[in-house]
Amino acid sequence: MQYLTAVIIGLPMLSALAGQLLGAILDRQVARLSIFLLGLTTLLAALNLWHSVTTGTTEQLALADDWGILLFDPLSALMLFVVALISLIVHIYSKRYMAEESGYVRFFVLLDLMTTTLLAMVAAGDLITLLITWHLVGVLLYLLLGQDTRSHTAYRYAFWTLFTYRFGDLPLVLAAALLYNAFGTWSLPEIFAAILANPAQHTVFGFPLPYVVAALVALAAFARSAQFLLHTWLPYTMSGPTPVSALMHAGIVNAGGFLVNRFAPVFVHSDGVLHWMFVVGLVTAIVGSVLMLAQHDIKKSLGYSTMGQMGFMIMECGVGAFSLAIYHLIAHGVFKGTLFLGSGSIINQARTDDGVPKKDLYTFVVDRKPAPQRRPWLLMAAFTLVVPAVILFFAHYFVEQNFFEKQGAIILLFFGWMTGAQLMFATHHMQTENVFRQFALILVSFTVVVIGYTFIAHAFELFLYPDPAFRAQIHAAAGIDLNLFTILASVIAVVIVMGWLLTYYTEIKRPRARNWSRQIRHKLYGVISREFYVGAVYNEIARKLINGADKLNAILRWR
Amino acid sequence: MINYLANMGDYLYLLITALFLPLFPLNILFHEMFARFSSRLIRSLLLLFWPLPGLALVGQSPDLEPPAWLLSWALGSSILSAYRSLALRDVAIWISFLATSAWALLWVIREGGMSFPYPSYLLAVAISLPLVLLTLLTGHIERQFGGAHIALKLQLAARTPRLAGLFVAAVLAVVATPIFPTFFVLLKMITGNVAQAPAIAAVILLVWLLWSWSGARILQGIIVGGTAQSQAIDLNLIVTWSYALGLIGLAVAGLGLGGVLL
Repeated sequence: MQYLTAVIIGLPMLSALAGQLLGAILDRQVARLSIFLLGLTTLLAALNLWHSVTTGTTEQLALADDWGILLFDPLSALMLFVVALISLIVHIYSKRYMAEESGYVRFFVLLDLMTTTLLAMVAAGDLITLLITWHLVGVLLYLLLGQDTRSHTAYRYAFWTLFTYRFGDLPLVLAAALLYNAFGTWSLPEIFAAILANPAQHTVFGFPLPYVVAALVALAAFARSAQFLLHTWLPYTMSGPTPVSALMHAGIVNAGGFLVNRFAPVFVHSDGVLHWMFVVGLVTAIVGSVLMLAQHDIKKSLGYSTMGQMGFMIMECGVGAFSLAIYHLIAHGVFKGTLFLGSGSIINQARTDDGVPKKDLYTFVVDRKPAPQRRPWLLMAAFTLVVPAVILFFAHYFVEQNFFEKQGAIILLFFGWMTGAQLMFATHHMQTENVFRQFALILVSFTVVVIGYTFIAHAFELFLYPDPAFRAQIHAAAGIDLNLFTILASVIAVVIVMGWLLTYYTEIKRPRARNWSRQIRHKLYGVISREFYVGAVYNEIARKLINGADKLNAILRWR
Repeated sequence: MINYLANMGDYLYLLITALFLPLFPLNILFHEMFARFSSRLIRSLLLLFWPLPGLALVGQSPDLEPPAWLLSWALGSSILSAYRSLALRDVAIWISFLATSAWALLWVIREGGMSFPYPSYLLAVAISLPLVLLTLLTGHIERQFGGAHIALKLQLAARTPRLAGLFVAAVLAVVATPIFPTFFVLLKMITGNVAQAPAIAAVILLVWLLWSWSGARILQGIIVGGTAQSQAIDLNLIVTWSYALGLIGLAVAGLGLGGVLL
């Protein structure tokens, strides 16, 4: 099976080579060849995944002594299939979408090279291969985003991506160098085995090696997955072709979650790093969601939505739900890819018809006119708070009776609870002829989603981390003191309950906003609409640095 | 008197070494010479051979210990050249700055006590070869357009796509993109120092980041642009394939070097 992994990676490379060498002869047929070979790749990747699911084996293929290793394990098998499938969809979409663009052949060659690199990245079994592919993804993305060589804007934002990615590559290089120095090998399975056998064997700067390495890997994952302060490139890369945006948002940006999972044996011995990841992910999720709501441009809004989702993904890693992060990145890849690929036609359609049915939904969503007669607010608030909590509890309980012992699961339950409550609140004042039917439909949908999500997430955990002891280690690494956790959870629960009661009360009474409150809101909106000035600050720093270099060169007469 | 002469000899030795493994401000001499000679051949020879005397001097005097501050100076020189390259607009000058920035890092081999199974010349050549290739390509641009300067708004991608493609690949090779040789040289330097002297590893990473930044600025200035007013004669197929094979050779050499070094 390890040879199959090599074939899966090799096919898109073959397609890229054929496109480059025969591009002049094949011309537009390059796309067909590329799609055919990628279809074959996806088929083989599916076969590979099926083999992994049924046997659960881990094998490796070494192309050289110590590096050039391809790993065949559940994580790589799953990711190979996901990457191949998303890339195939993007290829098929691009065939017609790019037909009018110049550089058609170049585009498909780059797309194939990107696919090969991503496939090799997820199957990398050693640090050198991982570094090379991790790095090349940034370079190839830069070239793909700059597909329109006439556009300075496209290149400007492609540069932001390249620079952030290069910045994120550096901690990974340091982590790799530290691991090699400590264990004398580049092979990931050998390094992980040594760490699991004796985690405290090596120290760096007075800290345990796994702690330092995990912190560096986390930093690399933050840059790749657009975490707050390293996110500015993501919403501005819309000048590139739509298929590239789709590939980027559906696949490439999720690599942070993959990296954390790949280094899971390091993270389980990195006391404290996971907590920092949780905080960074949480801040990113909130900032990304807030910025998404403030956008008027659909593609930029999608960009910030991705940022928020990436925050959730990193946060899931932070609470020890590593496999859930993989499920999240796949689910996000599928729906975000669909949204991007469909955004063009939706914009086109909306110019003639917005597609929103008149009456109930239109008046509620577009006109923002709630129903004149609302249900009793206290009853609705209680309903909103109790029903999602009950559904979530039972869905988790049936899957795993002792889920209460996992702090991460409890934290994620809070998010599920809030999401469910938000759903209830958003729909409770919709105009409807039959209120019971409406709520029944909402409840059934919510229950199906929760049960599906819980069961699939559990299946992912069993597949990716079959060893129960290791699963327990991951959750233990993400945990905090039980008493402190209980107090925090209780406080958060009270805050959520009070918050929703206040929200409902405010909705029904509609008290007039005070002046100071209005002013604060205006100022806050100003800051949000300027994206917290993060991009502006970076631009200013870059401008000053270049001006400084310019002045220095002038003093030294450009020699 | 003998001590004085011996000290003088040591200083002279260091001065010559610092000229060929160029430290600021002695690197100005290399920048000046590189700009003065417009011949592609002379520039290529300069790039290939300039650091070799420096490495030979370092290698032939194992007893002579350079002062500790020299390594800081070398790293500072490398950062300075990389930083100054951010504001450069002429490709030829940019190449000379990248060269001095990279060669200054070769002091790390000596000072970091790193060991290689092969002569350190190999590392200098590995750094110089992508620069030579870029110099040759820049020569084509200079001949065709009268210069390789951002202000000329060359818009190479629209006017000479083959030359543009090769130029992009060569710039990527120069700024230590995997799998080109400079990447493996830097990785070896980082791996060799990260445990004993993490500050050195951090400086090398910073230099690497600055190279990428300045490389992207050069690419954007030379390659990108709207529809060109006048078409230009692109490289013919034979020349294009020669350069392409050169780049493939560099990539293969990079992997080979990686196998040796890591």
